[in-house]
Amino acid sequence: MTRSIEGTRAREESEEFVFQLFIFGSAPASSTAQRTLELIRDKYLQGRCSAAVIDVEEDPQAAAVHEILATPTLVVSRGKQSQRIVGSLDDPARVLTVLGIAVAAGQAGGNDF
Amino acid sequence: MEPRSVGAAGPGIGKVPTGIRGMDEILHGGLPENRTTVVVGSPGTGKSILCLQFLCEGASNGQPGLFVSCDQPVEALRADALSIGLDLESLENEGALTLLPAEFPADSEIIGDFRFDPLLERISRVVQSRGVRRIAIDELDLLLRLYEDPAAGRRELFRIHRTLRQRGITLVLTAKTSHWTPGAAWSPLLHLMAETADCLLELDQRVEAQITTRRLRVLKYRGSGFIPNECPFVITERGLSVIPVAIVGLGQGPMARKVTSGYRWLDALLGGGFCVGAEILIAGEPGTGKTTLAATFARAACERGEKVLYLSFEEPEHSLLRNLRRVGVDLRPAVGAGKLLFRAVVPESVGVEQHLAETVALTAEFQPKHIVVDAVSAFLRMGSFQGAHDYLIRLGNICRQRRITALFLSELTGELGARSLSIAYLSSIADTVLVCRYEQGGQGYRRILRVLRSRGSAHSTDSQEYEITGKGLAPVGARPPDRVIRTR
Repeated sequence: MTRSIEGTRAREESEEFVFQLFIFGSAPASSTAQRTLELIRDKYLQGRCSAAVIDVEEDPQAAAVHEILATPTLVVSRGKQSQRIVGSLDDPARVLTVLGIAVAAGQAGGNDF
Repeated sequence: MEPRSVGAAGPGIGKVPTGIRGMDEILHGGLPENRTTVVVGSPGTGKSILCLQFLCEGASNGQPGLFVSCDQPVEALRADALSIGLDLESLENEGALTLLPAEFPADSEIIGDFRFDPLLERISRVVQSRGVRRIAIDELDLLLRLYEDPAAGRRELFRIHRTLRQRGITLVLTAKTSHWTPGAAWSPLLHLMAETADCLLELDQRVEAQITTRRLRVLKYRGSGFIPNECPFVITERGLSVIPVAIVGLGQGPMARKVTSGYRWLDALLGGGFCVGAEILIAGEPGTGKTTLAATFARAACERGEKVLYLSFEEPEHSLLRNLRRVGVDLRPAVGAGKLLFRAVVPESVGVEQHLAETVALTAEFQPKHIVVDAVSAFLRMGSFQGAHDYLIRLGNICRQRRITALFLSELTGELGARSLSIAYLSSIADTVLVCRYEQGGQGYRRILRVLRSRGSAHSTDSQEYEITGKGLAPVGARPPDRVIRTR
């Protein structure tokens, strides 16, 4: 089952980032990862991304297609490039660094949670 | 070498055969049913092949299998399996085997904690839909090493372990030891995996005198006995093959039945002939007719309808057959009748373990009643003295177990190496020892044969002069043995 995070527009050509977050049921890491993704979407990529959350427990086929072994896994597509970030994403600053999103000093961090 | 095994078989332990030659012997029946076996070893030691053979054995016998590959693409596995005669695809098509790719994508970053729920979920679904009974997770350590926090890795290992155990699965997990350094200290993760194991196996490989030797060792087996010695193994075109060095004296029975040597005069010296199932050493100087003697024995056996396997380490079949015809021993009818099988072997082509594994496989297939090894002195070219010694001892054990008469020919050259090999080792284990040598006589050299020992027979200790004629070996100055001793 795929559901869009509230407030995310349908995917368009102009979008820079397409996020697919694979979670597993109500595992604690799932909600942490979702919060980080929402934060990044709302604060740093407003209007430049789409984000979907896929629960592997409910949609195992999607996980098989994407060869998801572990959850949470964030699959990031950027044009033709794609990368994965595995884990609870409990360090938003590191996630931004991995995504290559420039952030002013002190802007991202634990205070945002 | 006394057979030594650790512990007794627990009544509650079911065993699952591995399908690997020699392995079930050292495991006293197989891997623990519905429990976890961990196989550790450096890269290239055969862990994946072990898993594949184990799964295919089950798949072919009503126990569907699942191979979870954390290390290599499943296409590569299929190709590797084909090279050892396992057709995974046909088993997959029957639904008896499933290959599940579980390589962690290389483009992954790790931020924070995670769990292998999707993988476990996929495994569980296959288990349910296919009725899987055997699972191998190859190089699980690759996934567990992704955790920065050792506690999280531990948790995940236990979760995987628990989930599969509840389902009544016989599980094999493999893990890499440090690259190319057998005996190096284990990582904490490896220790952890070893702890969860009911049965722990270690594979390693060493190179000695440029010949590779692989060894397998059972480090623990909860609730079961096992043979704790290091057992050499090889990877041949039939997969893994383990040779338990320590299995001695199994299936040894009385050696009452005698068969003719092919020469009446020699039978008389031997007290009736060779004992069936005995190990016989024929040591002789070059040109004393050892091969002729063995070939005559083989011909007589084949004429009785008994199969003979002739391992020739010195000459190819055609030249051997031609030379034997010159001394009146025509083996072509025996070969044509399928009673005599020649196998010419170049000792230095492969290692000792490989030779033995091939001999064992050939023995199992051809089911000979007698084996001729011509000549053990050539074994020294296999690379190491110890290896040659091991080969002899182990081949002897296999023959004893199967009640195969073994004729070992050995050259007495006077060189210390060959002499000490045949005399110090083989002669001490052989039931019967014949020595052929030259003695200076009135008109030059005479060939002399002597029975040094013949266990369980009354035999003559007299020397018999003989010559090599167009009809094989013939006694000179035919006289009956006059001095007979009896040994029991």
